[in-house]
Amino acid sequence: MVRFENVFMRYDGGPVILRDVSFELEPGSFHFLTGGSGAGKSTLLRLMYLGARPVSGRVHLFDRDISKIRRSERPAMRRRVGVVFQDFRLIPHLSALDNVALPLRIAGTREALIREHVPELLAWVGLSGHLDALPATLSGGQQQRIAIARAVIGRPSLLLADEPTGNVDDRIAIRLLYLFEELNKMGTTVLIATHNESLVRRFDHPRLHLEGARLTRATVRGATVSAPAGAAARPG
Amino acid sequence: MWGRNDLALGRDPSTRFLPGLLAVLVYLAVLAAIGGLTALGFVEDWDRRLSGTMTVQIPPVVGAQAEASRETAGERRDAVLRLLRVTPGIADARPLSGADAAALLEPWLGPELVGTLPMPILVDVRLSPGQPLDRDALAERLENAAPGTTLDDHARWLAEAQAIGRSIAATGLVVIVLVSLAAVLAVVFAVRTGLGVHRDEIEILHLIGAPDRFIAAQFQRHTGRLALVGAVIGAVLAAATLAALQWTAARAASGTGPAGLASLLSSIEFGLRDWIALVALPVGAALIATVTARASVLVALARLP
Ligand SMILES: Nc1ncnc2c1ncn2[C@@H]1O[C@H](COP(=O)(O)OP(=O)(O)O)[C@@H](O)[C@H]1O
Ligand SMILES: [Mg+2]
Repeated sequence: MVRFENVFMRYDGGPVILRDVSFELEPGSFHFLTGGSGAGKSTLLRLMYLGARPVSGRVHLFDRDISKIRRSERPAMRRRVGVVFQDFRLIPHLSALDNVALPLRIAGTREALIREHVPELLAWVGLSGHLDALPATLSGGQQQRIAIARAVIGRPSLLLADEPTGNVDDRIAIRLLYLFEELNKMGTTVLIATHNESLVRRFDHPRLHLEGARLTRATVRGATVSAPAGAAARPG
Repeated sequence: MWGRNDLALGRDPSTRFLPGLLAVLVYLAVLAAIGGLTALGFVEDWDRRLSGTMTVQIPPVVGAQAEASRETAGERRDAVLRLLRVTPGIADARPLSGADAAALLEPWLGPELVGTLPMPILVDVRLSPGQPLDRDALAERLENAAPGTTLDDHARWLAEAQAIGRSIAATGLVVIVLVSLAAVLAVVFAVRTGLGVHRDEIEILHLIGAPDRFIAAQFQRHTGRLALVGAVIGAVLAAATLAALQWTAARAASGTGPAGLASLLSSIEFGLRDWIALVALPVGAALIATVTARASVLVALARLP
């Protein structure tokens, strides 16, 4: 599904953010991505949704080397990836419903189906009363749930969620995690970047941990699985 | 889907000028087109009416022999007619009656003068199509039959009139081309501005998998609609202007004789070609705007990394 091989990443002239990162996400897997603020979690996700290219190394998405994907092929690949952006990236003048409907409209889904499925999903994330609300009139947590609904509405093969529970209380956070698990059970590969340690502990999924620009693979309880000696992952 | 727009382009100040501009451009284009078509229509009309005809003019006999002129004039006319009727390539020769000739000249000379002046005799000649006529030989024999007789095949006049008519039509075409160019430039400018204004939303659309053509469709729909509104307004105003012009000409013509300029104008009929121009130009303008919007979005987006 996703494979990193010796990936180095830095922004123009900046420090190295990912150093020799290698890992693979098996189809149907569910991972957390942890690490302190600035550790490079969002950057790692960005490489996966074709928002950036590595300085060196290879990133494979759906068995394609992303450096060999032509511009014209990108939209179709991106439609298979659902992304919850850390800053939501909602379109400000579109209602909650229209924002969530966007991936379906891009895919050419019939309007009748959109009218059926989108309100259903928005109700599931607790926004049934806000279908016509503009993002700016909603709280951060509500906007975040619109972003989540938009990311999952198209049943993506890969779901990348960047701090998807950063703005909601624990009760809603757990409910949202259940949503991701539902999606995972239907076959979607899930990767959730978070620094919510209690959430990570509550759900029994393996974790990828970023620290010092390096990635380690660990179980929930902190035991290192495939990392350099002594690099046992600890919550960021 | 006609009304859907995920970029909310309708709120852009950058495209608000488009309907007004398109109205002006289409107004000009319609007037230019109808003007050009009318000029072409005259050219074709003159061509149809005058080609294959000639006019032979037998001058009156004046001065010392004026006394005997009536008889001589009849003789001269008969001699010319006899000659014409046996000349190969001539289908028919028919003298204009004195009244016909007077009617032709009256608007220019006035009734008093026409009544008193010695009038030339005019002979209308129809040529047989497909049979060549030796003009020079005929002219020479006419001179022998009735000295001073001239042969006019209207060729020079027709050529000049056609040249003028065609330049008017060509000017109309140039105006239409320039106007189209202006429309294209305006749309390119509006779209470029729009792409800048909506850069963030376009980035989001790209990130969630929208292809360039999805974004282009939004711009093309919005631009095409604005252009169509403006173009229809422009065409309606142009039609109103033409109707007013024709009405004014008709009123003026009712006062003067049949040869006046006003009567020429009022005799112009709004033909099928004019209707086609009136409909095709605004539709064409909206199409040009739509295609230009699409193309400029696709070109601009293709340059993104
Ligand atoms: N677009 C960018 N341009 C330059 N530097 C960036 C950019 N995005 C992130 N960074 C830097 O890269 C580092 C990692 O950022 P990020 O991946 O957002 O970390 P995290 O999501 O783990 O907090 C930070 O130091 C940040 O300042
Ligand atoms: Mg981040």
